[in-house]
Amino acid sequence: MMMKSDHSFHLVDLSPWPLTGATGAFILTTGIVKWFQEMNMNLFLFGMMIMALTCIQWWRDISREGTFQGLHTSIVAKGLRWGMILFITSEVLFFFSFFWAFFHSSLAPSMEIGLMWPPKGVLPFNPFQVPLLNTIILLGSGVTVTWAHHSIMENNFSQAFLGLLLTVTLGVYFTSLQALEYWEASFTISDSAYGSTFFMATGFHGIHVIIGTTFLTVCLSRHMKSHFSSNHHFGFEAAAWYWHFVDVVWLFLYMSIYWWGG
Amino acid sequence: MNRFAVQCVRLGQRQLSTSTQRQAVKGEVHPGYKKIKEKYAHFQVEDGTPIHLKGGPFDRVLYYATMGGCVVGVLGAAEYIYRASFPKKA
Repeated sequence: MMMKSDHSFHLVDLSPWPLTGATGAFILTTGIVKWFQEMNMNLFLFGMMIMALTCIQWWRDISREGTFQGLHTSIVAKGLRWGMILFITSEVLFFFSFFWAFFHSSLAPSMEIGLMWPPKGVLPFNPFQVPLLNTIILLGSGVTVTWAHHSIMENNFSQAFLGLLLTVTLGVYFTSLQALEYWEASFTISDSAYGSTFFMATGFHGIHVIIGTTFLTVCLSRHMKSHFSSNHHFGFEAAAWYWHFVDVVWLFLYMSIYWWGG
Repeated sequence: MNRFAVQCVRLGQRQLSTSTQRQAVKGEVHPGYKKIKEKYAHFQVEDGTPIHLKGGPFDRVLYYATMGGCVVGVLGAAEYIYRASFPKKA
């Protein structure tokens, strides 16, 4: 590949990762069917492994192209920004559908659940206990990630490290508390519309928290290897945007499902 | 037209870290800067190696492992789909 060109755009090297990603997604989804039909998770786990290997190597290559080869000119970075914005927008629409399902079931409760919300017999979580702590944790993590960002922009290496470390710690803390809540819940996903809407919405949110925490951990590792400069650190900004999105989704979850719906 | 051309050239300049270069001149730089300069040198050698193999021999190991995994996985998926397409015995 050539690093010298007469234009400021990035024409990438031929890469195997789109193919392995598509193949891995096929193996993963067939594995899910096999899991549900034959109670065997092997193919599903194999598919997860291929997807993980693809993601690691694809994003590793992007870091190499941007940080080590300098191919992320400002026009390329603009494209990356728009890409991340559009991706997060698609995720907003994804969560919108789960909130629609929740309001569909809860605004006009059916006869089968007792014409009431929460349904008869369902013991919801007290919104002022662990869910409130989780809200404070995520809001706090929004502060720490912003602190990390300003530290990067001001070339303060150690404070950026601390801010990122704290953000990751708070993310792990949230996930642990939520896992405990799931364990302690008096209802399951199959307990009427309440259970399905609760676990689908909070479950997908939890997956996004794990993805966001992983993204921030990668940023922490890259920061320790001096990949970020004070004026060029888009990988970190993308992680921070994603993290704020995860935080906002939680706030909506908390207000509608935990508080209003409780 | 000339100003437009100048702006295009500015956009095209590769965005490697510039703040650390200024700091290096002043003599106050993080030790990580030296390590990353070695990375720059390694990855900017123009030898035609594609980016996914340019890191070293372990890149090839990971690449073959991933590709091999894809082949095995597709065979596994095909085996399940073949079995699932026949009706189960009553």
